[in-house]
Amino acid sequence: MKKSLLIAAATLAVGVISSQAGVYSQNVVGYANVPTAANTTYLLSVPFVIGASNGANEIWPLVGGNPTLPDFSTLLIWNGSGYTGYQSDSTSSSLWDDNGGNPIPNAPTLPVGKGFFLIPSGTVTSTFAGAVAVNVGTSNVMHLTGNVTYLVGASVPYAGSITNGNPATGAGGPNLTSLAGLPDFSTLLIWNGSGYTGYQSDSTSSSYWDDNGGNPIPTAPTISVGQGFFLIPSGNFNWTVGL
Amino acid sequence: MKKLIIASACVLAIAGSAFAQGNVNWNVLSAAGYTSQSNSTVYSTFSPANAGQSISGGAVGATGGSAFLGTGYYYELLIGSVNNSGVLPSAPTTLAGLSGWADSGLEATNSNTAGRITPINGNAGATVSQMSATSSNNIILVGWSANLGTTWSAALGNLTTGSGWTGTAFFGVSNVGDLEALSTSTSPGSTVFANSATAQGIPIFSLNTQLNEIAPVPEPATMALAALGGASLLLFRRRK
Repeated sequence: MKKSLLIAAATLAVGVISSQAGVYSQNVVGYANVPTAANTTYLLSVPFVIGASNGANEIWPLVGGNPTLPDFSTLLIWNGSGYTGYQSDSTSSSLWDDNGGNPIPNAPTLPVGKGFFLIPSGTVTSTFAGAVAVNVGTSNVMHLTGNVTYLVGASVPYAGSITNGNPATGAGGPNLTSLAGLPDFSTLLIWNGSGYTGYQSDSTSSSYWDDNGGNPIPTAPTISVGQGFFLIPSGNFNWTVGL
Repeated sequence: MKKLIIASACVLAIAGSAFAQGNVNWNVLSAAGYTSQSNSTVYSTFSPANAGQSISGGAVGATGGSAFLGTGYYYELLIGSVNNSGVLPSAPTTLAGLSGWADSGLEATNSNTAGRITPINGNAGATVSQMSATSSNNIILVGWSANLGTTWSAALGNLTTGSGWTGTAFFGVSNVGDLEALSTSTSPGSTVFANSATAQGIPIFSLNTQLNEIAPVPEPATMALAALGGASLLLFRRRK
């Protein structure tokens, strides 16, 4: 009964560099196609800045008057101890209802780096298109408190080992290792379609990670573009994600 | 030795059944899978007095596909027998047919949006003691108007006696689903309502579920008065 997460590799499409007097900026835009099957539970995150606020109505807008996410799809947002639920509804002014099907004036927001569960009511491919949240060579930092459960995702469009990523060199990736300050025995939970596969960080392991029983594993866990996961740091952690 | 093996197997079976539990998503109850209405022109088959009979005066409740505005209705998820066949049975149509269905403890009420429901004490990983992550159980949703009671046990009691409420009461049962639960409690459990199958089985798919009017069973005193009235009428006609 287990389902593997079906997330397509993203294409970082265009990199445009522009400069103005004394201001150097880079606009890196891209998109990720994420196919999802009807009535299946996915743990996702949006790796791009979309619209004004990353509202769910901006991530899945109406196109030609039609919803890009089937009506009555379920969105579950982690609130620290449980989930706040929403239903998509193209007849609602915000395109979203609360969990009881009552239209709400403002759609929930899904900021870059935040994980969420999506249960689409029909098979659909979501296209997350927008700007990458950080500039090349800089970093994206989140301050995580020890022993608190966070539902997160890589804040950059990235597929591969969770240990990759070096903000100093501009190498992309979530950078989740003891070398980047992740305390030992922090917990990583990766959704497998019906539950979680658990891992523990371990600076003495060759991969910097153990399985959930504390046994070193040769290869660190991997994630796909747009995949969310739970992270429970065993101590305070300034999480620096490299682009 | 054979007896010992059988005894051990029985103990294991009992232990397995005693500890069987799993989680379902009782947070967002998708309108793609379940809505209800109360515009039928016939009495409920659960109605002890007038089962299936037409209601004089036409439709009751609101008309159209959406009936529930405001508060006033309750719903309960009931768990039936283990069913790993993948074939859905028909929903019960009588009170006797409901006897094998256990109360999951998961309750909902009507949303402010017509026809939709919202969970009471919603929890994306709600535990159901009768379900498990290793086999499928039949499931149904029963719905009733608040004047029958605010809990399933109270409503069932009134339905059984055919009395105990005032005003017009409604009751209905969804189509049957057949679902496994999931074993983790901190993550979304099995989807209970949906328009197609999931990895955990067949959720309840029951749009515009009809809640029919329930007629109370006349009390003996009322029946006696009715009989007296009839007799009086007969006597009056004969004298005429």
